[in-house]
Amino acid sequence: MTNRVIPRALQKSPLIAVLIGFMACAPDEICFTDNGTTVGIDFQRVVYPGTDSAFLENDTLIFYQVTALETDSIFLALDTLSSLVLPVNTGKNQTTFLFDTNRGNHQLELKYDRTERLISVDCGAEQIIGLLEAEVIGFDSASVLQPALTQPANTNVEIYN
Amino acid sequence: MWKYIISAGLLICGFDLIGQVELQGDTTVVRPPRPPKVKKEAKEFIPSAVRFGVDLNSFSRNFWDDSKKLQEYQLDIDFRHYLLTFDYGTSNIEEQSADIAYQNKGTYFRIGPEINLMHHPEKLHVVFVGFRYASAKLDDQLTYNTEDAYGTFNITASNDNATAQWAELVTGTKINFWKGLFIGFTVRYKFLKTVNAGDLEPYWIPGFGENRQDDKDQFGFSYYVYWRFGFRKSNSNLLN
Repeated sequence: MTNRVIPRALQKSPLIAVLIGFMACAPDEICFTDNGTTVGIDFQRVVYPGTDSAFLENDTLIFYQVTALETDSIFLALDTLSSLVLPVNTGKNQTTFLFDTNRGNHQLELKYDRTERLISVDCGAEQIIGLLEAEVIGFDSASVLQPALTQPANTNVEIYN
Repeated sequence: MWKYIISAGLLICGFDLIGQVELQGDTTVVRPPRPPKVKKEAKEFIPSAVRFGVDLNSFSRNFWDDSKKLQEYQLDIDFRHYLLTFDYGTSNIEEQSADIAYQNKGTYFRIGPEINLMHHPEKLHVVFVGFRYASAKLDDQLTYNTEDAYGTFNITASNDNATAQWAELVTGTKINFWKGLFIGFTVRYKFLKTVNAGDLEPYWIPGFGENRQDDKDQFGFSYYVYWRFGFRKSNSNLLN
């Protein structure tokens, strides 16, 4: 049977604990997060060089105007681009973008789910948005590449012509 | 084949004989019977006391932090140099600013074993390492205003009966100061957190703390004041 006595340091352990407690401080407030409310959209077109092969390349369009339903805001006016970053409606789980281009009028309808999060009282709240579905009218098709909306925005949706 | 069987039989019989008598020339020496084996004293794992504690860290916060009302209690029971520890706590959080209101109310418990590393039979001090399984239940609600290209929105999201689980590695002390009075601290490494919630990610998990998105693991610290209610002679500081 061992018969050790308490080390001196341990006899003073409450004092040490108090000191550690005072030294420990709350982590600094970091307001920045990776979560974003803008969606990155890439336009691609399918190129068929031969009869049995195909590849995708960036599709550059002339945008006369880009808007969305439920807002009067014009997100883009007269620009030539192959990719866009657009804000989604944070008050709803759906946003429909309207594209007026040199190849006619097109629509992109995005459906997503939103999770609310309080970062802190000082930093405020934010939304974590996850894309569920992308449907197009006018374009050939669309697919969701990256469901999470981040900042800076990645390519979340690819639209094919 | 028979040759091997007969040889093996003789060999076994031979061992049997050696165990009982020894032939020395014409004399037969009978060995004294072996002394009966003394049974080792069985280790007693019968509890000798329960220790009830209050977390001062949580309790003191009620005086200086208006937004957080916390309470935590701990109960441990000894099984020789092992302790079974049970924590129970409540929390009530209200964060408010001009644009944001957040309420969170919940309870939690932790349960797990500790090993007392002190081996002094006449003292009751505890220096321990241990493990906890922890579980929390909470209701919370967030209301805030947001403005974007689509307008100004008043957003409200809430959880009813959201749950969280996590594990903890703990270490600390429970030092006997006077009679049944103990003071100690526990350092916790909280990990393997899982949260089951709805459209609102809880800002606060009772017993865990802030539910930071980028920080899955956290350290925690508790100070306790205990009173030990002994009901038999303690053997909690006996190692063997």
